[in-house]
Amino acid sequence: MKMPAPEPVRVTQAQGEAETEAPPGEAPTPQTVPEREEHELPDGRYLLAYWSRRGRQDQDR
Amino acid sequence: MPELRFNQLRDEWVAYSTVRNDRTFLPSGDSCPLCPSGPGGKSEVPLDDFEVVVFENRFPALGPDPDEHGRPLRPPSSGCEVVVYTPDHHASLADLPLERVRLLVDVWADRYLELGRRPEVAYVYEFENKGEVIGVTLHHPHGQIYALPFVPPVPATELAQAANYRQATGGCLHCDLLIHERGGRRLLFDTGSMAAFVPEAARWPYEVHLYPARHRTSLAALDGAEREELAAALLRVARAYDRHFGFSTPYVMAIHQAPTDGAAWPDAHLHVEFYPPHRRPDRLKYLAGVELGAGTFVNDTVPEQTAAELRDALGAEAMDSPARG
Repeated sequence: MKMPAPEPVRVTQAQGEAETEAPPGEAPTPQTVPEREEHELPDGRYLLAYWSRRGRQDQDR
Repeated sequence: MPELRFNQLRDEWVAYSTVRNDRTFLPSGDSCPLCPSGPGGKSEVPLDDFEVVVFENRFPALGPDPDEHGRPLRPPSSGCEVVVYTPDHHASLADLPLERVRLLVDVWADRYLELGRRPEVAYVYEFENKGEVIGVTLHHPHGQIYALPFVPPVPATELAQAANYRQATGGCLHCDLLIHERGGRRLLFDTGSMAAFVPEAARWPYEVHLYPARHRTSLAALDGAEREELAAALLRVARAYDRHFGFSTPYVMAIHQAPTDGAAWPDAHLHVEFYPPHRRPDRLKYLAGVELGAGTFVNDTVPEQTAAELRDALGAEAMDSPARG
């Protein structure tokens, strides 16, 4: 039996500049946050697919 | 069900996970569980394509807190994740382009923050085991993350030593060690932002430690430029090993960061440690009686010499701009 195709449950952290959480005593620093697709595998485990800006652009072509 | 037991004599937790005894063992390329198998496929990554993926380990060393069954003798345990670096089954970290390793650094930082937010997670340990002699059961390039309900002994010892040093001198032990190594005979390279060296008291013949120059407690605290520099530095070290030994070199790569137990850890200083098991291209360093029974490492090489050999392997790129993929 084939597993069902995992569609992304949601996409988070859209590509762009964001404030990164910093440990106590350190100032937040600007980061480029990758895009993250959240999937659920057939047995309930999560799978996260991370994409760089360039990788996402290549995939969309 | 995975279980943690505490060894009072050693003051350490030991993880038990019988399910791992039956985990996939060195499958052929066409049945690799980490290759993309497309929607409906049978691998662990049923996607058409990806750059980096993270998923919950099907064979975790740690597991859900069993306290609900009335056994409160251990702390809550947490998750284990697999980080797949690339769809390319035959690649290694050293083969990846810089931008992929940069993405990997972002992924590690994201997982550090997310797993570290879980109330039961005291330490997010990110690492890679590479090579059959290290004990990998899957050749596909990947690392792992253990979200631990305790601070494991090696980082705990470093943190305790750093706290003692702070109390005695007012300074950061890691920062001062870095000052000591930069410009010294054990230095491999120093980009101004990242420095790599063979530590003065290396346990392993070609052990390398990689540090951000600025005091950063975790990957999440690195700014964008530092993440790029770290990615380039990781590639330099991995490629230097491959050039020196003449083959895709096995290693353990361990990332040490601040605990995530809610306490302040000002003395934590992010760094990456590499432990290749080879002492020569045709000889391995084994942990035996002195190391395992007494806890004292015997190293058949001298750090100043192995650092010189790795500098030779780094070649012309050793002291200039970051590696490019």
